[in-house]
Amino acid sequence: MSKRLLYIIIMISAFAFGAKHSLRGVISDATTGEDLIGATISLSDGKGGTFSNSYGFYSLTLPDDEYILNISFIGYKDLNYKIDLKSNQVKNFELTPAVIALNEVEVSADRPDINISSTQMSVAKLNIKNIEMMPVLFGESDILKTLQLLPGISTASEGSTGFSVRGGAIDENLILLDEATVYSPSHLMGFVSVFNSDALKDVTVYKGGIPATYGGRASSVIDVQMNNGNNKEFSAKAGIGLISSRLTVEGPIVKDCCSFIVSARRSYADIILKALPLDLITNETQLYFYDLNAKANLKIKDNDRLFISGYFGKDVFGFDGIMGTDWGNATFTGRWNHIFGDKLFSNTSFIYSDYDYGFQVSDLISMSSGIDNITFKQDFSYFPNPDLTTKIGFNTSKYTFNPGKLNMGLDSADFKLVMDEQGSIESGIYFSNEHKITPLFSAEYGLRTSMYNQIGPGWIYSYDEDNYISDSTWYNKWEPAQTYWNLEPRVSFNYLLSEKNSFKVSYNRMAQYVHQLSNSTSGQATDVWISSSTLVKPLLVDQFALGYFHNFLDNGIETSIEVYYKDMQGVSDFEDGTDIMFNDKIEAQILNGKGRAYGLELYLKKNYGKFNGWLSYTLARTEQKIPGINNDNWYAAKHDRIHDLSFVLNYSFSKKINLSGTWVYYTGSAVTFPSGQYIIDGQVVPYYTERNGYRMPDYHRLDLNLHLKGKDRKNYSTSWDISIYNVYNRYNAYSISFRASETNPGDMEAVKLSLFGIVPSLTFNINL
Amino acid sequence: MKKTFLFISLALIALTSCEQVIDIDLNLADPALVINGKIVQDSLVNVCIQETTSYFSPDSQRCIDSAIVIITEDNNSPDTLLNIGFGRYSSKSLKGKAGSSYNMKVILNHQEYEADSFLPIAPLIYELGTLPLLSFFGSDSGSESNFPPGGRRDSIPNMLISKLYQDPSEDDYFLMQYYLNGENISKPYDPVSDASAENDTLNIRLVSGFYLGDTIVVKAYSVDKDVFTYFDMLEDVLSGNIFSASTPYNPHSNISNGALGVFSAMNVSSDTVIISAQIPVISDQ
Repeated sequence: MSKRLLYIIIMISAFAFGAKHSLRGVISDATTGEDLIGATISLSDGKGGTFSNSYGFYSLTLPDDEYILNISFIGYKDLNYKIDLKSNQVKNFELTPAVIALNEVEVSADRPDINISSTQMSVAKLNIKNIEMMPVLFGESDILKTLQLLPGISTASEGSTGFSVRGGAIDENLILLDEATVYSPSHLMGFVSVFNSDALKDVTVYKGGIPATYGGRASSVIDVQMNNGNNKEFSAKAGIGLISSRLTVEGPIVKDCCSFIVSARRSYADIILKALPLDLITNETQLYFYDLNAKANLKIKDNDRLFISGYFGKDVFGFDGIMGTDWGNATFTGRWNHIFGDKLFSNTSFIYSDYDYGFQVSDLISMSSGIDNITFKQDFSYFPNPDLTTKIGFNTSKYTFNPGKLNMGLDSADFKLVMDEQGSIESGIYFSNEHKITPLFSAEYGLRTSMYNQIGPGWIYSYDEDNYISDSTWYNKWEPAQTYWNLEPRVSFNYLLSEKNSFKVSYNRMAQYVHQLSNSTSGQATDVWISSSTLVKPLLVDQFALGYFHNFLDNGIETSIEVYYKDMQGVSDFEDGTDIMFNDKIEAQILNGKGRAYGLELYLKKNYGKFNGWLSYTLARTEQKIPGINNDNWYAAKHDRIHDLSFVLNYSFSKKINLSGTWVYYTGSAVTFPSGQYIIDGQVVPYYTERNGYRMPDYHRLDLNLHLKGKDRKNYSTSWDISIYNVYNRYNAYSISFRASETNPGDMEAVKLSLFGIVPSLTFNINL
Repeated sequence: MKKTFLFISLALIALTSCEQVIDIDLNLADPALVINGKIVQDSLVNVCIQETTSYFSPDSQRCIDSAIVIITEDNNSPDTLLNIGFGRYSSKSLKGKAGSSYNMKVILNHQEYEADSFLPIAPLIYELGTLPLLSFFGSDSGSESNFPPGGRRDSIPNMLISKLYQDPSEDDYFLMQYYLNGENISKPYDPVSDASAENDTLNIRLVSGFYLGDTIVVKAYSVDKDVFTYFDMLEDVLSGNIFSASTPYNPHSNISNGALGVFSAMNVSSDTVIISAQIPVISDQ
């Protein structure tokens, strides 16, 4: 028997029969006490290790022995720790931030080769620090805008935070803020996202191979985690910008144990507008948004932690007291972490989320719509050995949909349209394994079972072919009117070809039971959410993806190529002429069909150095086929993007001066234009031959941001951001409409509306 | 409602947005047949047949004068219309009559296109009146400067309220047409159905802003459901704005075999109002 074989047998016996003990704890930032998510803890011989979870927690179970552990996280100094494992131990690690160059863009915040070694594909992590350096409209740094520069994620329209992931519609993205669903992630009619970067810690985006722990949306998951707050000392941060100002205060409640963070923003567009000589704006005009993020965490004992976090934001537009509209999200998350023994981590969550829209014209017209849900969620993570992590959990959510209430007339009885509220319960149960099967081959596999019940109280209607109600049935409170359930398998495999390259493959099925009704491409505050029902089918998406990942120059350059194919069932569109707002027959006018999307994504990124950045390119198609539309033929979805190219480049002139730029180019969205005209009763009527058969003009734009850091003072530091949006002042088309020509009577002409020319902005930041 | 939203959205982007007339290439669709047949109470039947033409530069050669057009009233003998040029076909004697059903058959290039339409009784206009718009919006100051821009400022704008009889026992479909000082300001009709009315009076508000001295002629047409659907869709297609419009489409015709256009039997009533200080403010109830 060779020595080598003998060694293997001894090693296996040691794992199988030798005494084993666990090491567990929390990895955090030494200066602020913030938990580090996804920090690596590995054995120095490179054989095994684990990551901290979203609460900074890790657990490693190893045969009794002496080990040298290496704890690392990008942007922090590595820590080596020698341990003699003979009993179960609790060990918390604090990492010290490395003094790094002013701006090293890190889209991945983990160890340098994570893109190669992790089983996950089609995933991106964003580092909040770097997002703040990106040039954006009005100087508001924005995670949702930065996401749109990654392959496979495309902007819905100019300036908008609405986006489409791998051919999914904008309502197919599950946007979570501390586990709570954010239904409308935008301010200012979609131009600024609700996420205040100062309050955020970590953003993870899943485009494919979505783990079984997530469910409820068909295309993607955007998992945003808020900061816990500095538990070492008080600090404050403020920024004064062109559109809004912001302030963040954080500090310990009890040092090293409990902390809080409060972060607020308010825009003051109305104040600026009032200064301009415009008739529209008077002293009574209100036009602003604000939002507030708050979080507190308490460590009760080593085994128990409590987190309470919330978000509240609103947009307000008021005109002379005559007319007003406001809308906003509210979320609340209460969480309890408990560690059972040394290997079982438990998290229990209670979540509330709400979105409301309101509109009023004096006392005469008022309307409202919205959605809210309450969720209970239980998750367990079990860490039996360094090669296996098992997650099991369930959740259940109660939804209330308010599709619209409208009152018109001085007397409230004059005209009233109240669309029935809908209720439903969505539940899910899952298991998921992250499994390193051999040193080169790893897998993440799991299964989610989802169930959806549309429940009473309420009427359920059937409609005849003229969309008149033909039958109605009353359902009592909690009585299920319609039940759907689906098995959602999720599988990803990674085969390491070498340390520098790997090959990955994934499959996932996603079911979506709630739908947003939208006419526009970009999404509006007025878009309402509705439930799946007897007539509105759930959306089911199967996605297959393959990827090859290769790093060069000691992980200094990352590249990847991914291809995907999606098969969609239950894709919906509206009958011709459907009014989306206040239409109590909308269910009868939603048509269901199928869809397909496929694409190729290329990504090239330089991680380090004075000059860094990335290049992403997507070549894709998204089509749908819905009986009753486009003569039952396939047609391009409105969010179909053939080419989508983004360049992000940074250059650090010195530690105090940094210049960053982004350039984007994409194919115009698919639109329906007339191919002829005729005259009816004196009116020119457009003649349409094909749904979405035309394209908007191609879009491209260059933005620049200059970041200037002031001198570090004793108690504070300052910096300036000078941004230019749309540097070469290209008037990209937001919409194209048609009208009779004034210069050539009898002829028609096309009119392009552009939202923004060149927009410079200035932001001043203070850190206390 | 659409207008209000448009206004809010526009106010927001008014600062930086820009409009430009641009050139875009549109495909030239194969010409499609368009039939517009009309029978109005006490008027001669009139049918216009044309083909679709290029969207930007329509040519005048769109008229079709070679079709055979036959109209049949109830079970009477068919009347073949005379071509009078420019794609128009007319009857010498057949006039619209309330309570009759009409069938139109068009034969062209061995293809048949057919449609039916019913001519309802004439609408009954009870009353026309006005209501100052500012009171509608609930402002107590009455100062014009509070009102959104766009209107004339020499007097308080008024909205027009037309009160029509509707049969509570069945659905009525109306197409409204308003002539302001002789000019048709409806393009071409404002469709109104009584689906949401609860008694025998239908209040139709025109929130357009009329001023002292304006003469408004109101024409109310009653039509059948298919005709109403066509003009309702036509209004939707023509008034579409970028913030609330649905995906463009061709209005659904009541004519068979894929022809565009509509065959409409209509009855009509008309009334006139001159906005003056003496006109009592109408109750909006």
